[in-house]
Amino acid sequence: MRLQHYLGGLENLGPVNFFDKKVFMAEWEKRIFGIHTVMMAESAHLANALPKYPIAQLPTTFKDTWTWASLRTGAEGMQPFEYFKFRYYEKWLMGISQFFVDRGYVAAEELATLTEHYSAYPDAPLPERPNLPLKDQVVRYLHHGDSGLRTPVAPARFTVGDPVYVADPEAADHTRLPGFLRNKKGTITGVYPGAFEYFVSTGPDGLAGPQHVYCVSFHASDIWGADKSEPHTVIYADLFEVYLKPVH
Amino acid sequence: MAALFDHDKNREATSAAKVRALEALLIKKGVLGSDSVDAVLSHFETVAGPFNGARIVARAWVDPTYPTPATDSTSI
Repeated sequence: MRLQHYLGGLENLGPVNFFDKKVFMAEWEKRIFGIHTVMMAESAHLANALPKYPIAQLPTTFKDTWTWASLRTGAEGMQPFEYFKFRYYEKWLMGISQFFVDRGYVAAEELATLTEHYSAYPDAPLPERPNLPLKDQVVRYLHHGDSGLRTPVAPARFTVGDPVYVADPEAADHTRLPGFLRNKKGTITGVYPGAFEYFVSTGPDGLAGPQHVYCVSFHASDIWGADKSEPHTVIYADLFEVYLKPVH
Repeated sequence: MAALFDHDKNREATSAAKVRALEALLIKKGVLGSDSVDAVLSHFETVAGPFNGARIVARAWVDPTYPTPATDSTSI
């Protein structure tokens, strides 16, 4: 469990800027966002996803599974000083480059050499090799996505109005449970129809397989204390069932 | 301590060169096409983006019969 899971309530990080709508801080960030999204669109696991994509027929040399969970596992597993040092898309660039090196798609030396080349000649062109079937798959994926909706394997454990405690399980690098909600008391406000399966099992925190998902409401004062909360503030979180415990 | 958070002086240029090198190698090795990343960016610039929400809001302003679930509670 890393510090980066516990940002909620951490003081002295400065005000949240609600008004800066800029998505990318630098032009290069768009390219790594695009590379990541193409990787998700050609990920091996999509052959069994909803909808089923014809991944086996796709003319690509990419044969791995790559999802949001891959990126999150890398970022949440970072040493916290490293995590805070680098900007959002800098972390993506580091993680994705390392993935391609680790999996043998790209040699570290050739990446370093070509980086020097583009440092010296920033306007040097990219190779020109369009791939229409892959482009079509990218567009298809962006329209139809990768739904986690599943048929429930058990009835929902909680119903609207139930008081619940948030569990405080061990976590490995990646968890879908925000640190600031651990051990807090909330109320079930909604039960989403169906069940949802996350891309991967996150290990010791118990998230695996299809789960019911709830909208849970918390009074801010139950999380931060009355003296640090605006009155009448309610916080909603969508949480997997495994992260909730009944209040007896 | 502050040294822990020092950055390369050419922070942006280095990242820009690295991402370009990565994209070039991935195109060369058949992981990406040279039109793949642009397909993603074009989608978020022209098909899916905040401009769709803006259109819904603008329509709701001028058409009182327009069903606007967005103005109802967002909780389920």
